Amino acid sequence: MFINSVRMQLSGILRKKTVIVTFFVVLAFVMINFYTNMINNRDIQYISQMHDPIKLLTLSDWSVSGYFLMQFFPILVVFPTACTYLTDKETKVKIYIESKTGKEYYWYAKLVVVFITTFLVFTVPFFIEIVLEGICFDLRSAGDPSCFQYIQTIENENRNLLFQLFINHKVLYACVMTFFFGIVSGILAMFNFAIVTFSFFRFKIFTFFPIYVLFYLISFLEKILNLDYTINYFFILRIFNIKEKNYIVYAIFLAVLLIVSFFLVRIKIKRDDLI
Amino acid sequence: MKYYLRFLWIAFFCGAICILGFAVKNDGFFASDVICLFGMDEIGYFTQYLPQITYWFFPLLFFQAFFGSYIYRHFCTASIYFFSRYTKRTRWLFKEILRLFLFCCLYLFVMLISGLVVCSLVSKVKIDASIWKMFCYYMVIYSLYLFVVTLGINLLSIVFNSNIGFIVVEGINLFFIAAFAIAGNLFAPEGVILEQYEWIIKINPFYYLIFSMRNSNNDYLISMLLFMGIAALLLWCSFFVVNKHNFIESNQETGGM
Repeated sequence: MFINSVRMQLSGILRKKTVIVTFFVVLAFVMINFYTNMINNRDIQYISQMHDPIKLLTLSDWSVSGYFLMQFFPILVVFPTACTYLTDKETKVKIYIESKTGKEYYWYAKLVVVFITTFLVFTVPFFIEIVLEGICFDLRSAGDPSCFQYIQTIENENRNLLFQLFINHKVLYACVMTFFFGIVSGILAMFNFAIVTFSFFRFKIFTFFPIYVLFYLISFLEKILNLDYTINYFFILRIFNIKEKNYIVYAIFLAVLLIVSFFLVRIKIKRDDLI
Repeated sequence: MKYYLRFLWIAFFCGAICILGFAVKNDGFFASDVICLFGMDEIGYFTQYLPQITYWFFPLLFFQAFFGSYIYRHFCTASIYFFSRYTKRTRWLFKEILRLFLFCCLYLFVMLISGLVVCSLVSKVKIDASIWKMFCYYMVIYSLYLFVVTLGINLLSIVFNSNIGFIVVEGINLFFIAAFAIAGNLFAPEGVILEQYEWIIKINPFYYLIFSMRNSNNDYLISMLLFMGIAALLLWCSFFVVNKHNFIESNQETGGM
C-alpha cells in the first residue's frame, strides 16, 4: 500500500509544472556555469594552465553562477513541492489517494515523495555537469582559481568535509558532495511541507517562506552567539569554501529537522479527517 | 484589516531581533545611527556582506510575503459578488492601495520604534539633530520600496496566481541583491568599483536602498524619486489590471475552498 501510494503521488508530482520549471531553472544555472567555463578555457593551450574542472562546478565556491543559484536557493528548494498539499486538497486528489491507500500511507508517502522529488531536482543537473566537465576538460589539470600554490590551497581547504577524498579521487568527491546537497535540499523541502500543512498557510504565497524564516533565525543566532564556525547555508553548502565549519552540528540540525517533520505529520494524521 | 494588523507584531519582533546583535555599545548610540543601521548603513558591495544584507532584508521580505495577497485576496473568493455590487473599481483600488501604503509605513515605523526601544534598554541612546532627517529619508525610501515590491506581487498574482507573483517579483528582487553583493568582487580589484563599471551598480535599484552608498542629500533625493517613479508606473498598470480583470475565472488560489 505504501509503495502504491508513493508511486501514485510520485507520478503525479513529477509531471507538475513547478517541478519541471525548477528543474530547468537549476539546469540553466548549471549550463551558464558550464558555458562560462568553456569560454574561459577556450584560449588556454596547456593543461598545466587550466583550473581544476571540479573547482569550476556550479556548487563550487568559485562559481559566479553558483553564487546566484545559492541566493535563490531558499525559494527554489521549496518551489517544486510547497503547494502540493494545497493543490491536492483543491483537486480532491488527497481524498482519492487517502480512500485508496489509507490516511497514514498518504501522509508518509507524501513526505517521501517530496524528498525524492527535491533530491532529483537538486542533484540530476549537477551530475550532468560533472559528466560534461569530465568530457570537455582534462581532469588532470589541478590549477586553483585563487592562483595560489597547490599545496597552500590544500592546506586551506583541508578542513572541509571529506577533503581526503578530493585529493584521492576528485570526481567521486564531487559526486558525493552533490549527493549531500540533494539530501540537504530534500530534508529542507520535507520540513517546509510538514509546516505548510497547518491552517495558517491558507494562501499559497505563505508556503514559500518557512525555509526563509528558518534561515533568518539561523542568521540571527550567528549574530548573537559569536560562534567560531559559520552556520550560514551560503558558506556550508558551497564546496571549497574555506570558512570554519562544524559538521556534527549541521548533521544534528538536519536530524532535528527530519524528526520535527515526522512529528508534525504525525500530528496532522491524528487531526486530519477524511471528509 | 484586523487580520493584517497582527503582522505588526512581526515588525516589532523583527525590529528588536535585528538590532540585538548591534545594541551593545559602551559609548552609546545616536538615534540617527540606529535608523541608519536599519537603512543598511554597514553594507558594501562585496560578497562577505551578503549574510548581513540577508539579515536586514528578511523583515522586509516578511512584509512582502504577508501583504503579497493584500489586494489579491479580494479576487480569490466571492469577487464576482463583491464587484458586481461595487462597480467603481478604480475608486476601490485607490483605497486599497492607500491602505497598503499605510501598512508599509506602519510596519517600518513599528520596526524602528522597537529597534530604538531595545537599543535604549541595552545602551544609551542620544537624540541628535539629524534624527528627523534620517527618519524621513528612511521612511520615504523604504516605504516606497516595500510598496513597489508588494504591489508588484499583488498585481502579478491577480494576472496569473500568487505562486507566479511571488516567485517572479522576489526572484527579480533577489537577483538585484545578489548582483549588488558580487559587484565589488568582480569590478573593484582595489576596493573601489572601477569608473567604467559604475553603471553596473547604478542601474541596480537595490543600490538606492543602501544608506552607506548615499553620501549627500541629493543622493537620498534620487533614491526617493526613483522609487516614486516605479510606484507611479505600477499604479498606472494596476488600474488597467483591475479594470480589465475577468471575474469568471476569478478564483486562482483555492478553487473555492
